[in-house]
Amino acid sequence: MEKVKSVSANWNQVLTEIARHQDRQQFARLYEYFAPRVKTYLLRFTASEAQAEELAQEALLQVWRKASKYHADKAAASTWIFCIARNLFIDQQRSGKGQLEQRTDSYHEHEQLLNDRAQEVDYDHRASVRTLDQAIKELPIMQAQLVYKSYFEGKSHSEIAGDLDIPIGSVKSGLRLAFKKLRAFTGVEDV
Amino acid sequence: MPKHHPDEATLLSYAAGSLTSGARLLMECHLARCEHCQARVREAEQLGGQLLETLQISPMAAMSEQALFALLDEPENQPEQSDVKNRPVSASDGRSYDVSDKQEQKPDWLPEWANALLPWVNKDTSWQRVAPGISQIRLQDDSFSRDKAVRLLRIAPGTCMPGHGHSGSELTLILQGSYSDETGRFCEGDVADLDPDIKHQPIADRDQDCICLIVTDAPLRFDGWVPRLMQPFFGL
Repeated sequence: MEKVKSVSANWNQVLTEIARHQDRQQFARLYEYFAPRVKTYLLRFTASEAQAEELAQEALLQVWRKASKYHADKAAASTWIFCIARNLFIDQQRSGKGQLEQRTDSYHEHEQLLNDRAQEVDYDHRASVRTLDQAIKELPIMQAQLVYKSYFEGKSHSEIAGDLDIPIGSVKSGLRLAFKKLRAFTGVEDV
Repeated sequence: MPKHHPDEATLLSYAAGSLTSGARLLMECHLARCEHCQARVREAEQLGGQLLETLQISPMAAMSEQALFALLDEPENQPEQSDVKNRPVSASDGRSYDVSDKQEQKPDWLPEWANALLPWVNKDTSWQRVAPGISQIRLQDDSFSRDKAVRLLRIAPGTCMPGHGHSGSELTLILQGSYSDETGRFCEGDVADLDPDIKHQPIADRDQDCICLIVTDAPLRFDGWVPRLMQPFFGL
């Protein structure tokens, strides 16, 4: 847990530097780290590699433009960047242009990625990620799937219920339980 | 401060960006006056941020530092903002929508905290009668394609709604007045987030009209043949 905080605190500091001094070098670091992850996130919603790339770049440019509104005591950098990427996805979906193609069942692919990833990342990142990995792995598979479908497939409760052929009530109770457990693991109360 | 809150699963889906547009709109109104739910949404957004960090990387096209810095100098290319209505308001990134010009057209029954509805209603918006004591305004928007119905319901004091269950989700937000049903008494700002297996028969309390925003994503199922005849009138 200590590691988690120190790693994300690091990005909080970087983003604060960007906010205060329009520090371009720091932005380049942030871009290098977050853009490829935001792109993966957006690839869940669009089958087009080019569109995901373009939106990821736009997300990071918004981070730069809006940086003055960032306050490290209110949100972690990763939270803030997640919100920007998510809003971009929502806007895109709403405007209907480019019609983001919803991908259906990429969960198993994701699970595989969770397993493989540990080898390819640097030590600090791995340490922060493993805690949440661990928490997700300890969830019953159905709950992990519900969380995944909510965050990375953009599906509503009814849509998930249809996909998995389970009652909506089960989708909601499963998400509720998963949220409770993951909250405890990620130590969100501390930020 | 509201007493009845959305299900935590609904708050999580809001933060994840996966609610339908109608449901998101309803949540934005509730969040505008509910610190309890704002805090929960922040937690779910934080979870989103951490999940983002667990993602494997998809390499971006190679770009020199100079090229990147050049992008930073470019003026923001404003996407044609045909309409800025219904912009998501996030607890963490402080986005907001501009409704100042609509303020004077505000209907008197619409509370300040529900200004997100202003793009759809004004002083002159007329209520369509659907049954004795019940009238509605249907909110239309291209983005509501994933919602079954997004509408405002105005229920005269003491009116008893037909008992009904749901085959999908139903979110109800009280904008004015109050109603009571099997699950409790719902007042201004409260949200009823019912599971499909719950049947309920709301009765508007006696003091004033009860006005609520209702978002459904599957048809309501009314009991008995008379209410079923009413179904087409509700337009569900």
